[in-house]
Amino acid sequence: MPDNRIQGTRRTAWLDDMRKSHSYEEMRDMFQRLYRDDAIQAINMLNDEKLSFATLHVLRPEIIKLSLWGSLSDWNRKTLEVEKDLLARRHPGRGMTGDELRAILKWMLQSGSDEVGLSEEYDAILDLAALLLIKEYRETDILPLLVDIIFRRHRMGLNTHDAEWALFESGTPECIAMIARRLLSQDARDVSMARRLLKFIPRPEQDDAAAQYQWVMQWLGRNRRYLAYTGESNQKCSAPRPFQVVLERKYLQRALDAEELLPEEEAAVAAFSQLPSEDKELLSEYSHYLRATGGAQWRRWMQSSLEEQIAAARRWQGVRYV
Amino acid sequence: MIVAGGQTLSTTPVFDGFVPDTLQADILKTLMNSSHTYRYESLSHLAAELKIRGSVVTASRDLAHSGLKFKVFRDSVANPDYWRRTPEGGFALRGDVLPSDAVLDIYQNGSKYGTECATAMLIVLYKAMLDVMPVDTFNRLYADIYLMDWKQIDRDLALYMRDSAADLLPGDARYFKNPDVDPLTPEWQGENVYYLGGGRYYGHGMGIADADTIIRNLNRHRKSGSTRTAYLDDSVKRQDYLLLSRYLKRGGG
Repeated sequence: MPDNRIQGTRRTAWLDDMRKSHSYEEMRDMFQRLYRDDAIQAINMLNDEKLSFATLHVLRPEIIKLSLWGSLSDWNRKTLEVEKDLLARRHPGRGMTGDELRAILKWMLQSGSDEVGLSEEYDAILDLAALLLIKEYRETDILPLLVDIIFRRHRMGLNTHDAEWALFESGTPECIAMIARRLLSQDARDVSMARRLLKFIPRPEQDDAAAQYQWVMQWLGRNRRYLAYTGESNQKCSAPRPFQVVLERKYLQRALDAEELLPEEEAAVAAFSQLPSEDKELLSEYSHYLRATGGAQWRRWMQSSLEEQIAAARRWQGVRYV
Repeated sequence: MIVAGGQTLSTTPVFDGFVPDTLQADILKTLMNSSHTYRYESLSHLAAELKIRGSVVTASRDLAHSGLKFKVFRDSVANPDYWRRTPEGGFALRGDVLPSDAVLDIYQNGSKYGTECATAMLIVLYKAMLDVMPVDTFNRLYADIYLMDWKQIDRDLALYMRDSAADLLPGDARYFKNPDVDPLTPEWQGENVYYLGGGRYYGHGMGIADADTIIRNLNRHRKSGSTRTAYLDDSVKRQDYLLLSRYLKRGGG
């Protein structure tokens, strides 16, 4: 089964054009008429490789009513089987390879994401497809698309609960930057949504969304390597912190995915962990600053006593915030 | 240990016009015996906490027996006489009904409603407030109720979350996390509960159960091959009892 649905030169499928320019009922009627007039052409159009998942979904009742299952392409038949399993909350993909299932799920999301709010059922299918891709296949290519779905749904007041969770469950800090870009949107609804999702990032009080964007991106630049996913969502609390800075790692300037700590680093972390949280934040921030400005100075500072480190960091803090 | 009005309480206090019931007396005992120091502005501040915690426990038990169904947000249902179901699956109070009547209706006609556990937590909080406040005060404070997940919390519920607490107290809102949840059942990524005392919790969709039962039920919704069990996380949600104390009915248990 070729996975060429999302590549190559695009022309839109005729049935997709009909879906976009007519109501779903009209489109279904039109398909029925087309089938009565010319069944072969109707089936060819249904099996058009450029057909989107949204149209296939809308036409599913007609496919069943007209008993077209046997005439469907292998791809369409398997896609509708996957859809049926998702709706029944069954794991899809019986009789398929993992790669086939992954390709179908990805196609459902990529070709189907231009429709937002087609129905609650349809949105649920896309959310479950995204969740499977992210949690089972660790697929991150779809994240920009998922962000787009979330913000478009939010504009329409639709449910974003599971899609937001899916996005953060990717565990990749890059989704922070994807959300932050919406702070630059001209649409106030995008800005308010971005602000809600990024509420966990400490920031000075400011109304200017562009300034907030700058702040978030700078914060991300300083902390990206030390961000750990926490699993918090709105299912648990009103202001979830999906990511937290692992201050011990930032203090050591050792990324979370770096190898195991050396014994002297373990000892430094043990002492650091005893400090009050304000001191931990200050030291980790100062460590990052020193490392970025000069390795030799950072190494000297790291070798000094904890008291000396704090004193130097406080002097820096005083200068920095004057 | 309890410090109220600057004084350490060494014996059970006598409240002006308020006699703690058995549950409230147990909470008081836990506070007094704790190694943590609980500080109160006054005895009435302490009494407010006891009343509200007791009310949350009662509202939880009552909701468990109300017939409220478990539904994911996309399938949520509400009595349209009182609530407008929003496209995202939340319940917005209708403009032509009293908040108190709408909250009571959930308890009286629970089978007309269905939602997820986080929404049920909010319903309990509103009912608990309704039971300890004069109705007029309740309707003034909560004129614009929206029931969804935790994302829109009414400021006047004075709810806050902390990462841990010294003691587990009846009326605490807690969270069981299911880190390896099956991606096809995201609604079981965790369970919001109220602690009822005696090792029992109320969580919508689970009913009233002990921690082991809740964990066992969540573990049934893990992805295949998972080795990580669900667990009760350390975070706790409580209310600002001092702030709420000025709205409570006078006297009574």
